[in-house]
Amino acid sequence: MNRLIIGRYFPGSSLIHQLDPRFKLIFVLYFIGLLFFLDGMILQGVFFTLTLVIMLSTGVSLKTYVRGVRPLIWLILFATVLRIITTRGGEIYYEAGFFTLSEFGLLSGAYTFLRFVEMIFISTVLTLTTKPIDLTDAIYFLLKPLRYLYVPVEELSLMLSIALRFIPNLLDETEKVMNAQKARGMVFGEGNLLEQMKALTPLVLPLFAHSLKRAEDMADVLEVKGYKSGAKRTHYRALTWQVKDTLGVGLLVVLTVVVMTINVFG
Amino acid sequence: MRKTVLNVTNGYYRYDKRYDHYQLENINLALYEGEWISLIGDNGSGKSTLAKVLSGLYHLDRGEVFLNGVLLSEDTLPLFRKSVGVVFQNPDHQFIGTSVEDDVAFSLENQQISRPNMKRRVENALKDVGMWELRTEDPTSLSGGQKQRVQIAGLLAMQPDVMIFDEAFVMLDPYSRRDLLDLLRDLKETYPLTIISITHDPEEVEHSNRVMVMEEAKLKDDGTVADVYERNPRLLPPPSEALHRLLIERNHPLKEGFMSQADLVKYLCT
Repeated sequence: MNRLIIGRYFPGSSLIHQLDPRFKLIFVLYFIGLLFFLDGMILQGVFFTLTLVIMLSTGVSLKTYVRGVRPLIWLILFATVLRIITTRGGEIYYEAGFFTLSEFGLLSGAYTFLRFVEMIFISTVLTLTTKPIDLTDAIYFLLKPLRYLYVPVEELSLMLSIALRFIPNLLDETEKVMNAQKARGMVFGEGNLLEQMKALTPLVLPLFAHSLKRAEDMADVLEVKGYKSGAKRTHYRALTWQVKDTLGVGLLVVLTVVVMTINVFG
Repeated sequence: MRKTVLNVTNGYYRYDKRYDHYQLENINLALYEGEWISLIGDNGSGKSTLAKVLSGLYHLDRGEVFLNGVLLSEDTLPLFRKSVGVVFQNPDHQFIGTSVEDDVAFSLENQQISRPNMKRRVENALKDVGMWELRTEDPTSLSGGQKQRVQIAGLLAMQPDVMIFDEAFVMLDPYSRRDLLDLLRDLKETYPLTIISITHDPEEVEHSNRVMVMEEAKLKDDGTVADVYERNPRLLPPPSEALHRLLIERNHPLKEGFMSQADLVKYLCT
């Protein structure tokens, strides 16, 4: 379970670590949006290189990022294959009814694969270099205007914070229960699908019971610490926007111009 | 005259309101400023339920709870929240903040304390428990003893009148447990705190100056450590008293009655 890096923060002092979480969140969302407008090899190359540069500048090893992609690899491959066989154009290499293997299909599949990988990499940069509490502060700040539409922004941000807080704990807990069940002779990951699902029961039930207990305890803690849904709160942390964040916004503008220019004139 | 901090009169509480089976029955007690009270009793005797009533988590079916003379009600609940803090058994289930200082600050944020004031209180509380250097750490990466120190800092930052420890030291190794008990004793000398500790550990009981015994939902006994252990020979005594009883059994000419660690040391060294 330690292979999963969702919700885990890697402490560090890189430039990316120092950026304001609000900027990082905006950057990642905007960057992912731009990925859908990339047309052609040059832009794909530029964005992939930029993603790699950003990843390397965090000081976190590439292996860690690859670990983040691994759990989703089947989903990515499924989307890629679907894209390949449903896109027609250019030279046709193979055709069987609805399915085609064409030049454009292969290119399009490659772009889809790259886009997914870049999306995961860039999102991982955000979570690995931003403390969950900073991330929720950023989400709270960006969603704040929705309070006027009676959206419970404060509650959403606390829920998110606690959820992020408990993902690694839950994964560690899963590993402990698995080990305990293995010590009792339980075998995971063997047999047919039905047998494998049956084998999960002694894993899921204790985890479920444990999560309920944890949720109950957490509710008591929130109450004794004076948390009241909808009540006004002050904040211990203050987010500080710096010059480097403004320069980062400049980078986004440049990227947008580059994408638009190449798409229009390239 | 001693100042009453918390008191309960004719307290009754049941989890399932459909039945007449009570988890607390006819509870009458008064806790005074500066006391260290150990709440002992078998599992299921009602200790934790009583702690939850005292902290305002559960509301009595019958009877009343007062904090500094103020009756507990929906309107006065925020006052209870500020004045009564609780540390529960499992530290991993209590962290809300992702860093030590964020976690300590959480209750202050709920109390709408201003940021400069909050910073000062968090710093003082963390320094008091010796955790200031680790303020930026992820609390889940700390040792068991350190985790409970962070929880204690969270209470201290609230500047409460009463601290309740609901078997808070049970998951710790003996050294960390002793460390935390020493820390609490030091804190009690600095601040006018009333401590209520739910425990099964006789060594911990010896730190207190008052013991309450719960049995089958009722408060069976209440008194000094010596009085309670003399009146209840069935209770597992603190180590010094256990040794005292053993020596008497072996016909050593020791006086009958409870002997604290200090009494026993004094006797054996003179």
